Amino acid sequence: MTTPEFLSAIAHLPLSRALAKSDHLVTAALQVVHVIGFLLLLASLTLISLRLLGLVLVRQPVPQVAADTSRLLWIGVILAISTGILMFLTGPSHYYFNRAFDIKMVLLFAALVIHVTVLQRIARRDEPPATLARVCAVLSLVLWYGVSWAGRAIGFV
Amino acid sequence: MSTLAAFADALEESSVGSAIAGSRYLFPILEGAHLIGLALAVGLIFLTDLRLLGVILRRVPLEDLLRQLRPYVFTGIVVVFITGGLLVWAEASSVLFAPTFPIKMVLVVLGGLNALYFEFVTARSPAVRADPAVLPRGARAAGWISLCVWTLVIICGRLIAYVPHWPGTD
Repeated sequence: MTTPEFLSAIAHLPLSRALAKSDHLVTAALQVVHVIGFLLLLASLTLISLRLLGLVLVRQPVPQVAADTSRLLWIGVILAISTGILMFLTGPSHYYFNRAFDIKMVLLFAALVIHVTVLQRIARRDEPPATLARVCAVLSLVLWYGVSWAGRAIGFV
Repeated sequence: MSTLAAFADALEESSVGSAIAGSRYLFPILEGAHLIGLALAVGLIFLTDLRLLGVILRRVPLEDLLRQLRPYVFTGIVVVFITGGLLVWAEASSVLFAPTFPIKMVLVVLGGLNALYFEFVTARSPAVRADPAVLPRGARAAGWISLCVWTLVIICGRLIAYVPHWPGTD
């Protein structure tokens, strides 16, 4: 199966067709939830990153701040990804051949990998290695804010 | 309405308005920066609201959280207002007539007043300063109002592009 055939098959799924035919306010609602998911995720990430950088809540242990923000961060990720998939279904080839979408997906993949493999592990330690914590915090901020910026650009490319 | 239309046209046709609207990169960059400003301002305010409601960061003293997040929230607010102002400048004739835009502006004022009342009255009351495990009703109310108002601001903002006219008008 070639890529265009695959995309067309996705576009012809019953759910995709229903979404594509739905009122434009359904798309608007998906976008609203997508943005709110991003805000929860970015705010939680910002707080834990600032803590790892030693800029806020330095009197609280890192694992405590991480535990408090981690749930909210994953709620944000789940809201953003689930609405993102539904938005993709409304026009698979529109998104697939969009450069900003490509960049967003690469950044998203990198951000998730760094988060699960490095940031979450560092944040479980009471005294995370300072340099690694700082590098990881800055990298995560750049990647996740990059994801949202690239996402905002999809409509303009 | 015609005065507003003339004003909107004048804004859009001004050198700043047309420069932003005509640039291939400037407009999406401003939109991206507006979103990032929102993540800082509204996102961190959401975290504070959830602290007021006792959902997260319960062991962080409220005063520490408010004081330490303030510079980042303010940075976000400055970014949001500058980028938002420039976006309106470039798209005045569509934005100013979208019904959710004035609603959004009223809600921003309400959200601001709620935050100011909380900062200068509620947060300074002895009951809140004692930092009890469950904050007094006034503080929790401020948290709920803030969560609702800023969520509505986000909804109205996103709808500007989707609902260009008041229902029933053309």
